[in-house]
Amino acid sequence: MDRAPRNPWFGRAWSRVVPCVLLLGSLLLPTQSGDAAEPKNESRESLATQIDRIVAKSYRGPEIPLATDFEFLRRVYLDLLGRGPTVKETDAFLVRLRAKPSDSQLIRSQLIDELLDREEFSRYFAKVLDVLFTERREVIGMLEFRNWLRQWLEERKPLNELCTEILAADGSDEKHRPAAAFFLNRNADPNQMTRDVGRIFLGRDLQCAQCHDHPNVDDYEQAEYFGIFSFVNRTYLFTDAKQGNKPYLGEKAEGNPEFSSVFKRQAAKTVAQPALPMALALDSEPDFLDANEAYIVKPEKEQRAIPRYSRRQQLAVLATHPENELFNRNLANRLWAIMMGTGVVHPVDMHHSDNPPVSAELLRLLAEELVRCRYDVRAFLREVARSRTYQQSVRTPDLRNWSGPVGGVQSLDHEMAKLAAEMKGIETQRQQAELALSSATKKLASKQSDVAKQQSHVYAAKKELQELSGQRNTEVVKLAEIRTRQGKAQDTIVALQATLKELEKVAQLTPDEQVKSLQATVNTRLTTATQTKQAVDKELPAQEKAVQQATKRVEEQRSRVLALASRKLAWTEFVVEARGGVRRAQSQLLQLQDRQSDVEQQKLQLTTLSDWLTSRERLRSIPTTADAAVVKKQKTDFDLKQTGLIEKWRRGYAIQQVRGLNGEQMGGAIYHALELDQPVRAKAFAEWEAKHQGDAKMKNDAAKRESHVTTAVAVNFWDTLEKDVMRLYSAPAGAPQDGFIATVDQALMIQNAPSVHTWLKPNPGTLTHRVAAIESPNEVARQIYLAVLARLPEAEETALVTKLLNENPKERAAILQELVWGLIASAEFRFSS
Amino acid sequence: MQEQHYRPCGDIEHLLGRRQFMGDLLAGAGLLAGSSLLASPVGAAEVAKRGKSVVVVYLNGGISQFESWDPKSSLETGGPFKALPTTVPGIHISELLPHTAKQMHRMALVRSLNTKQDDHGLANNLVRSGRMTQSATEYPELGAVVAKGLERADFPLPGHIATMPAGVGGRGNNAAYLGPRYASVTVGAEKGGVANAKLPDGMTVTADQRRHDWRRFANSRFRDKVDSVEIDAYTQTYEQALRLIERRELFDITREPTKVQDAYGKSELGKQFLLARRLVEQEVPFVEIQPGGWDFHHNNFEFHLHYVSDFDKPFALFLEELAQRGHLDRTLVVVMTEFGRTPRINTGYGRDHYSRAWSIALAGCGIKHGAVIGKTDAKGIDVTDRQVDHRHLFHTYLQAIGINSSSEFDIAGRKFPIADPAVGPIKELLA
Repeated sequence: MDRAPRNPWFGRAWSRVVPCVLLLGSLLLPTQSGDAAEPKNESRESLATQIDRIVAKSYRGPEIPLATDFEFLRRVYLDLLGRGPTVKETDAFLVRLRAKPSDSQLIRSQLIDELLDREEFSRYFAKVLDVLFTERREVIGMLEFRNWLRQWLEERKPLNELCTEILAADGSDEKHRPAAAFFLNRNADPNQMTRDVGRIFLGRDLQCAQCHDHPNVDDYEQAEYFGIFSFVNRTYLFTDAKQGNKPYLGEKAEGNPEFSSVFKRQAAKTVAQPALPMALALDSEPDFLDANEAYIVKPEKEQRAIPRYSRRQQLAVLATHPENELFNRNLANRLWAIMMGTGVVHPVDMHHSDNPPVSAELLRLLAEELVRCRYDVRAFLREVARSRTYQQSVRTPDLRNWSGPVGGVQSLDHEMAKLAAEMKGIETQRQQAELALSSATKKLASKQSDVAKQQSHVYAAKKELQELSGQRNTEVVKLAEIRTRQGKAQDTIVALQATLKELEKVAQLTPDEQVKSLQATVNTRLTTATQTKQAVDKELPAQEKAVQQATKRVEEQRSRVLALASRKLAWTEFVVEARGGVRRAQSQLLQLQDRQSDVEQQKLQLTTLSDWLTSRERLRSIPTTADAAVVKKQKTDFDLKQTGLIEKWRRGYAIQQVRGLNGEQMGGAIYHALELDQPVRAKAFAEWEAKHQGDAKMKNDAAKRESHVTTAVAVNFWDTLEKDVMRLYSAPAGAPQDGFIATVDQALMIQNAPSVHTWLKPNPGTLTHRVAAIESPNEVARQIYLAVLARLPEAEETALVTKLLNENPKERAAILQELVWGLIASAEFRFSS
Repeated sequence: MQEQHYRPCGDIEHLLGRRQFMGDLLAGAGLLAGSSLLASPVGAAEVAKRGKSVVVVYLNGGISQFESWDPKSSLETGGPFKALPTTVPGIHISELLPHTAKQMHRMALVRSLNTKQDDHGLANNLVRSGRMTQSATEYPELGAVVAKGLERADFPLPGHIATMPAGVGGRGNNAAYLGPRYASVTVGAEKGGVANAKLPDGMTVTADQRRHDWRRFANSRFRDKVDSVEIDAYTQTYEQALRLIERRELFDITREPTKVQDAYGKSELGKQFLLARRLVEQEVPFVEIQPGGWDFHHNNFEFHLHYVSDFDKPFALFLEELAQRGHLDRTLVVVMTEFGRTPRINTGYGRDHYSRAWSIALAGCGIKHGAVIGKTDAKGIDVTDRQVDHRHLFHTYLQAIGINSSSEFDIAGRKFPIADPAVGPIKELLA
């Protein structure tokens, strides 16, 4: 089956989507297209600048320096290529900086562009996306899915279409089969699918809403859960016995789930409607007269069902639609979290009003810009990486000599008062917006009930149609039976006539009594047979007429059903229109909620700062003669306030966070730090030269040769190291993958595993082999610090390296391995700073 | 650490709580080296004050309730074995369990399980996670929940240990959202050990110390620049690993007197019980013993005759020793399996999978000794009284060791109910 959404209304590419208005209503949202007055020329601020402006707006601390060039270099390599820079790459960067120290910012930007253009970026980011979508579940091979994602990234196709593909694929199109991994890896379990469509595509974890309205989160309602559920509950896992039980997704054409709360014993069941949050719903679904019409392939034991109208493919379209604000927010937030360590909303799958974004303005900006750049992952990441916010230092600022914000506590109080006034204004608007939403919702409900009435007429007419079809079938059977009898009677007559003829011949030869009597008997029978036939002949016209009438009744009823269905469709237009109203009202409300939450966040920032200032004043004003216990108490209070303040600044992205490497980065960092790729590169290079000995053009095609070498390195990386290291440093399959993981078995492996010590053994081309040939301890220190930590050693560090090497001249090889090991095992290596 | 720095509510109290928690955790790191490594058994009174433990004996495959905890005299379904009186008047168990029968005053039975799942893998997920979901990765298993619930900052060993007969294993995938810190570490009973606990070939102790000193030097320089609890948690894992290596002997059952080793027997199961006893004495929060092969679709009776007998003696000895050494009062022991076996005896004299009416046994801490919960009918076909399932049991296990099963875990801002909030514990089973 075709992998594209098989939808009578939608083509694959968004440019071709015209009739989606039918679903979404006439609701070009003002929030999505930005301000109408927005200038269209190129002087528009870049996303990077806008990010920095928003972050700076709510920060009132001392100036935070940029990360050093070394820190930036390692950070950006880890985030975009999943490894640290090699010594050569670091040297090249340093050379460029030294040539033009004043252009440091430009050189950083150029580096970002270069990294994003590399094949290595697609390779690494495919892994990041794989983890995002599958959370390390495996049914379809992980490598296949990663390859498919890599292809997508290499072709520079938009990320939202990738998401559409993933939700729509059923595994039958070999070329795009890996896209089906999202559902297949979850065994097409409808609850699992519902939960992860909510979490991964919309940022909402509706798990508890499966059985009742969410106990902790007011926004998450059971109806929302079943809204998604009814998009996917018709989808099922089909294993093809003819192909060794290869899994595919099948889908039924029927099944409307009903739900009631487990907390309410006697609660009536509600029939779920396929819908996504923020009033995106399927209001208009086709009515099929029967199963023949409803299916392209009907469900059978050994046959994968394919419906003519697929709800899952509707989901694929609706969930990833550029007008789906939650989708945009979720995707932008997840990409942001990949670069920054935490999401603007964090945890990334908990978008709801009790867990507000640290800056709603920032979240809104990121979501809008993601749409504006047409979901181009490189364009988006480039801007994030170019921002000063991304490039800030991780170091905790020294506040001892900072005098505090201008105007001190008083000015903070003044601002607080202003915010309180602003909040009042928003609150009034919000109440109005809530009223508007409630009236729009009521209107929608009334239109829906109109349609439901129409729908019930359609159902009733369809039922009658079934009955009438049954009746017609009965009449047709009767007719056939009459015809059979007619035929039989005719056959009898013919046979008897033939017998008579024979008897006549016999009678001419031997005219005796016996023959005569025989003739008489046959004649009598012939008369009876003729009479029978005549009787049957008489029955026929009546029955033919009965069939005709029954058929006519069926036809008439068919038209009636169709008429009712199209009448229902006409009524549906009102629902679609009313839903547009709900969407607009909801969007309006969301905007106000965003503003409110930003005011709240600002108030919190101010309070934290004000508390810190007050506590510092108190500490400073304690006389030197004061009791030690009093001083200690105040000191503790101050430390606490200061920690809180700095955490708040970090959370608001004014200071960068120290981030633990993920499993893929850890593997990539170890592999490249130890220069294990070098022997593989050399071998692949030689292979290429040998293979294309007679073909100078091919032999010297640098791009093709590099691609060959990169592939060889990627394969070797996976085999020797990545597959083990990746799992060891990651959360288990199916669990959220964004936490930092430190366990004893990681440490045990790095300390003692035979494999780790094989990696450390000198091997031509690798780091420990290379430095063994270097005599000067200073240069040894320089090389291992550059290779492992991507920075130059400080004097004290060089001194210790020198000391260790000089003290143990006989154990030089062992010492070199220990030095490299110690840096690999160090916290500086484990984190991105 | 699985937790992130920030709670979305931005509440300073949370931050403080977290800082203090991390502080406690790290303070424990100072308590290095084998001062109490192989300390002599402590007095029972002292033990009572200490941490709780849970031991799960998971009879993988599905032991028959008829040939163990719920024998029936019905000719049609009961099988050839008789019922045996126990130390608790009125309670009878299969005659295949003569030693266990003498421990019944320390035990309790639940005979009214109906779990509605007859597939090994899926049923396994249900009973281990105490939820209705069939996904293995969605909810943490009991072991991970206990390891998290009973976590102690200064504890030098892993909190969730799975024993296996021989060899060494890795980390289980059974902690779901609680994170790998609480996943099972697999330890072999035979050649005693944890993976990667031995120095690499050719490395001297001096060299090992030298490289760790160098590593600590590198860490201290980095730590001066940046401040993060995650950095501390990470550097700490290396010190934990060193402490674990120092305590390797705890996992070596050949350190036990020969008499004791002989009493537990030479069977794989016996060795695992002995290892489990050593670990419980160290107050490891959760230990699992997992003998496999309990799936007798053919020759059910012959196999149970051997298997149950192999289980009976070391299990009874295990309970006896824990009781004598004062550890049974702080240790909950559960004999678990994924489902029972059919009342119908099939043509191969086997019993098939049956989740409609089956039993489990418990012993030790927090439960009412000598209690029998629920009943099945005379032929063992249906539950006739107090039907329960794995969800109720999950609450019960946790309540028995003092974990409030109706509360929630807060993992990086996500809230997770510890046990299924739709049901509660079996109250009459709790002491």
